[in-house]
Amino acid sequence: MSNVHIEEEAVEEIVGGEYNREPVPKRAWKGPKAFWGMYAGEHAAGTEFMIGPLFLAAGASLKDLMFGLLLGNILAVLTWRYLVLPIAMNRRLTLYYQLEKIAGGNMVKIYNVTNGILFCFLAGAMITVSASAVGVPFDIRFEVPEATFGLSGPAFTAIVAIVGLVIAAVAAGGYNMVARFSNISAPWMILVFVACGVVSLAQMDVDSYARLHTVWNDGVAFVQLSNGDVEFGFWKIVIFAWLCNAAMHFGMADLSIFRYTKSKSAGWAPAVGMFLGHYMAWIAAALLLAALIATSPDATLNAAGKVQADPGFLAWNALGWTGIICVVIAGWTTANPTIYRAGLAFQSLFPKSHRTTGVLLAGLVATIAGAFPNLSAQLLNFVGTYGMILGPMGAIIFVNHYFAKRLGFYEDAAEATGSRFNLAVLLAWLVPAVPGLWLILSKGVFAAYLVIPAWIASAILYVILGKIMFSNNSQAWSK
Amino acid sequence: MKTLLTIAKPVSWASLLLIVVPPLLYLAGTIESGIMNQLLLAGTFIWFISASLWMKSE
Repeated sequence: MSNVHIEEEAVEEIVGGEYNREPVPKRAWKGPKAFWGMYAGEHAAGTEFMIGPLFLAAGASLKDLMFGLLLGNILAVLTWRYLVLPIAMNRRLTLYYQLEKIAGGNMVKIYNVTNGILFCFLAGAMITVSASAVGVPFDIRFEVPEATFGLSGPAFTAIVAIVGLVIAAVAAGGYNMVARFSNISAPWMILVFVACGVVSLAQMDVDSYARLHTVWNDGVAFVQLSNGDVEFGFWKIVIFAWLCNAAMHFGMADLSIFRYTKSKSAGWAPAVGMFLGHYMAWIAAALLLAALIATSPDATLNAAGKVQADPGFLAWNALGWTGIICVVIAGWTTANPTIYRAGLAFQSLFPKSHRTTGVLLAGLVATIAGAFPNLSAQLLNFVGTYGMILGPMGAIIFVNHYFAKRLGFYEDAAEATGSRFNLAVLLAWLVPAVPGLWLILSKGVFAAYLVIPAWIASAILYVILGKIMFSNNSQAWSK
Repeated sequence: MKTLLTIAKPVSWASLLLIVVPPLLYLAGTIESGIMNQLLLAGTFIWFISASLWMKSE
């Protein structure tokens, strides 16, 4: 998953935060270079330290990982290029303004707060990641308990509280300073991931692909022995790599980014983020766990004797203090803007409240979430859930853009009818998303599998509801 | 200040070599992990100090 896109803020870095309620004028369009630079830094982040080792802990084979990530990332890039970019270039609106035109202002608030809550959980996982590194010098390791909402040891929970509150306080101070620090750390962080991979190879005495294959398979066997039968096959990896950023491409969040592009070639820019962050960094981070299993297998086990991914300790084992600094910075620079964005979403519910209040509230929720290490250990499923919940909004935008006029119902229905709450959007969003959430939480269905079915179901539902409620010759809408 | 900024940019890019080269030397068996870690840390500090000068100014 990416360093969460803070779309409008990221673009503000480029052009000063204008045009939030109007199409971006031609004079403000940007060449492809700005997009390549932005995506390069965005997808090598704190989440990568957690997700990479989880592939090995989930039993993925090395071959499946290498080829599955390759195919999944190519599909993700194609989705950005051919799904998001054409609509972004045609309309040149932010996601939020586009949604407001279709769904109405009040509906956007619901979407925004949902997004904010999900952001809090993601930020919580990043607080856990940072805390795992802060604890290493004090010999405090985090333990992943069995229960989803089980706490780690008291000392680790205290570190989470301190780290979370510091991050929340910094986020409340504003976005720009951390965004700048994040930009500065990006090139260094990408190379630290490279270093993690190279050092892990050295620790495993790898001098050929055959040797790497053997050590990896030994690692998977150790995981199977400790954690029981686990599997993460080729197609599961493909689907995960493709859809872990579904909120950004299928969900159209990156409309806010691409509305500035001068040329279609910017649509390929996510490739640099995918192949640096979601290929190289994930594999390098996975090698950290493989190396630790190969050299000190007992160090990978929690109190229950199960293999767990402890990003702080893994990075320390490979790179010493640099590893610790990197994990802390990676977690912090991911959590910080995420909390800030969630805070703005919460504040939107109470426009008279101060921004700081919303950000601190988001920080508090994220810190509480961070105290439950199982949430970060479930990151593979969480990012899929995130895409499954937010992705369908992109389907509604897609239908609105390509089919509304053609099928005889109003394009930008809320704007056309003067509505502030488009019930058709709510239904088309929730009717697939709620059962999807139930399948994930109650039946243990792998969340990423549900992203595309939910997206298609939303699209079909919005066509049907649009025809019923917003037919060009119908007056059935409610204001 | 202008001289400082002129120097900072090449220094910061050069410091990134300290992140990449020591792990390769460690892989080749040329240096020990302790030395590698110290060089990595040095590269980290030099990068953040020097890059913050010119990245801030651009």
